[in-house]
Amino acid sequence: MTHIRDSVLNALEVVTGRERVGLTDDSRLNDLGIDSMDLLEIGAIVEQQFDVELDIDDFADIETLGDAIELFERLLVR
Amino acid sequence: MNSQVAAVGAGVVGPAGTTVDGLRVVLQRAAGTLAELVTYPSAGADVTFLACSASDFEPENHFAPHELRRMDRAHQLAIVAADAALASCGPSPEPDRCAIVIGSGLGAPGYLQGQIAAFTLRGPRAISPMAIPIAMANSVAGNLAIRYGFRGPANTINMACASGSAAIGEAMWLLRTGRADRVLAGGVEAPITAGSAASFARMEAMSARLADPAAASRPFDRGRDGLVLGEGAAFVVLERAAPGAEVVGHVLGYMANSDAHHMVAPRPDGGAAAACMRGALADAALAADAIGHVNAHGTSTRLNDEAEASALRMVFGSRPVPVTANKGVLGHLIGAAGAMEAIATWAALRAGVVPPIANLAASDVDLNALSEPAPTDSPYALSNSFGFGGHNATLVLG
Repeated sequence: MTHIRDSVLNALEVVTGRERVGLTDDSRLNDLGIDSMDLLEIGAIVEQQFDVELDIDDFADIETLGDAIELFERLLVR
Repeated sequence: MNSQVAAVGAGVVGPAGTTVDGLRVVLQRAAGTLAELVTYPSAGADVTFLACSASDFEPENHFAPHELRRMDRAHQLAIVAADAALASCGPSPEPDRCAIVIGSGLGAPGYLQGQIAAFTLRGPRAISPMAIPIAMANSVAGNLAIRYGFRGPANTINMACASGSAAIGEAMWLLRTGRADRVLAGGVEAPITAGSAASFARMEAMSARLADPAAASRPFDRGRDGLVLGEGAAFVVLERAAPGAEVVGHVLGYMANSDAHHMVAPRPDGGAAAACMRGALADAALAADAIGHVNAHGTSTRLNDEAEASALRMVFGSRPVPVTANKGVLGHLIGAAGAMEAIATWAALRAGVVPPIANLAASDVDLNALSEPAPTDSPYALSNSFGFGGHNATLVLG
């Protein structure tokens, strides 16, 4: 799972230009200025890296960075 | 009307550099076309063509990598030119009263080509979720509105090569009719891509003078063999200015019309173009005799040059009004051309010298086309832009 977390954080850095230093699982995406389009872009990068198709159709429950990482982990191990 | 529409700020990024004064100096020198050979690999033969690049422009100096991911080169050029235009004038009024009018011909062809290539190679999942917001025709306008917080209308004009002039003209109307108090207006084009170049080349529209780039764009010269693609952006900040206020220049009149004749060939007699010029003069309440010089569309294609010369003779009669054409130096900036040339025209009026046409050795049209700089003491000039689709736009500038 560590590599998925790492991949998501890498993608977050690429998409937002923000470094992961100081980010925690409790960091709120709203506060980080990350919106649903950013999440889609992050998903596209992760997807390419793992050569899978992620069906990211529900952002409703994604509030924190931890939620996002958990979502990607769930989608990738499915 | 006790206030005129005036440009109170201007910014450029293009083949002649990143300053308005640099643009004026380079045009005045008219040492040749600022073109170089560009080659892209393709499935068949390599695509090799001439292009006038904004070679001084380094996007990495202006944008972070994550910002560049969400931009075509058109966005980059436009933002830097618009930033410069706004930096050169006072603070903006109430956001609801600030508008944007952008001219663009091709939109974001480089970005779009990349997305299509990814799609072809790897299928639909390879397309970026941001593909539509980046490639849509109004993308630059939307980005600028967000960047500056301008909440008035943000319009994108597409009249092909007449877009930049039309953007300034339509912006003038937003101010005249009181729908805005400040309008950021101009044009942008980033056509130096394999797909765009190959497409223009398939029309036989491009100069094939690959061995002599500096001599490639030669408006009104008998040795012309087609246009040279150029990239860049040019923006002005327009307002209703009080008489006597210090300004870049005034937009005194504007007219746009259509040939309604052919998708790419101009009406041979230039009749619609002449009507466009007359309409702009009437809008400015000026007679043709008042115009000191013309900044011609002058694409360096035979059909345009002949039709434009014919149109100019209809408007100016036997009077040999001096004619310049900036595309000899800059190449053809497509949707940015008219805005860049308007700024160049104001610079020429302020300097009192009309720049010559680069590479004009022997003209084959009956026109007072300038091969040497010409002093001018007239405060008025006319700038033409004509586009594929038969679109014509003329500005009267002062």
